[in-house]
Amino acid sequence: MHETALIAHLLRRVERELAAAGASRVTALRLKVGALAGVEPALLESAYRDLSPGTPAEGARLDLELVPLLASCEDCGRGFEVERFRFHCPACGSGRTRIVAGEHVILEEIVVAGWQSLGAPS
Amino acid sequence: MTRIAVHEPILQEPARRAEALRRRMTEQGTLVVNLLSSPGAGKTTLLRETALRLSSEYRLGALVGDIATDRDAARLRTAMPAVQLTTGGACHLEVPLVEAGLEQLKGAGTEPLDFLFIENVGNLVCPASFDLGEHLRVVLLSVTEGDDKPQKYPKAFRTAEACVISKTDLLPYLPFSPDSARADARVIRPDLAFFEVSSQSGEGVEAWCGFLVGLRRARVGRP
Repeated sequence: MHETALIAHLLRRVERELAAAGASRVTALRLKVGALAGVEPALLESAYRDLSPGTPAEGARLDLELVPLLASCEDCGRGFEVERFRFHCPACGSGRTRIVAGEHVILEEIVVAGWQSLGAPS
Repeated sequence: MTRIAVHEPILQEPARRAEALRRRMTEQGTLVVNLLSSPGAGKTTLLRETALRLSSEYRLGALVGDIATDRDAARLRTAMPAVQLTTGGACHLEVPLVEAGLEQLKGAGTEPLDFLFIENVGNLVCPASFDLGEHLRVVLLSVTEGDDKPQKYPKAFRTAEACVISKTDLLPYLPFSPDSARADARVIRPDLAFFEVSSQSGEGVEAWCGFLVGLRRARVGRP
């Protein structure tokens, strides 16, 4: 259940971002979950419910957007969606393909409330 | 309402730390190998056989991830210095545990190591998401597991560079097809290197060790 570890890393990152921006409370977190991120969205959500209380993200919404796995061919340059984890290029058949999206859980943005200062984030 | 744009992987920070560790290891000439598999695929036994062949020429060390016990490290210590990383329930290893283990290994007097083997927690899902600063990720697939594993655990097979099919001495008794496993895995990772090994009979261990020595030369620039 490494989803718990991922959420722990997420909450630490959120605290750092809030401190840097001089903000204190989160109202929503927006995440992109790649098809090859190796996580179960439902487990991410339950880990978030378990770990967020007592942090600045307590009560904040967790928005998960599932994103497809995209690759590009190193030989012919074709970009394609990797379906059923078949990584060969559908155009030229090459095995030399590179993932361009969909292998991570990405923190897109933090929606915040309660700015402590009115100035621009430092 | 204000938004802080981040657009970074949640594991960006751990990935940076892993990259820094890999750089340190490269500079001191240590090839780091991270072994992933299901429980019972033979990671410890393969490492022991590997160490018995390499230890006369190279300085070796092992870090062994285990949820609760010290058994695997105890088995390895007859062949090379080994430190148990007890995760206390966690299903995978992360860089800080590896760094702590490296500190403990220093006591063994074999620094700097030529090879550091990290035996991950037996699990093909969670460890796949965490870069430990390794130069080589290997996934073990034992013939008792079934040749359809690669499609079930795509991340482990995609992020690995080599696959060891283990316990091949049992092939005559099982429906496992190394060819199907290879084909299945190469859909996910077309350039995956394969080794067929029996730690019991010793068959294939020599080729596997040769691969490690060659890779060390290529990745960390040492003979």
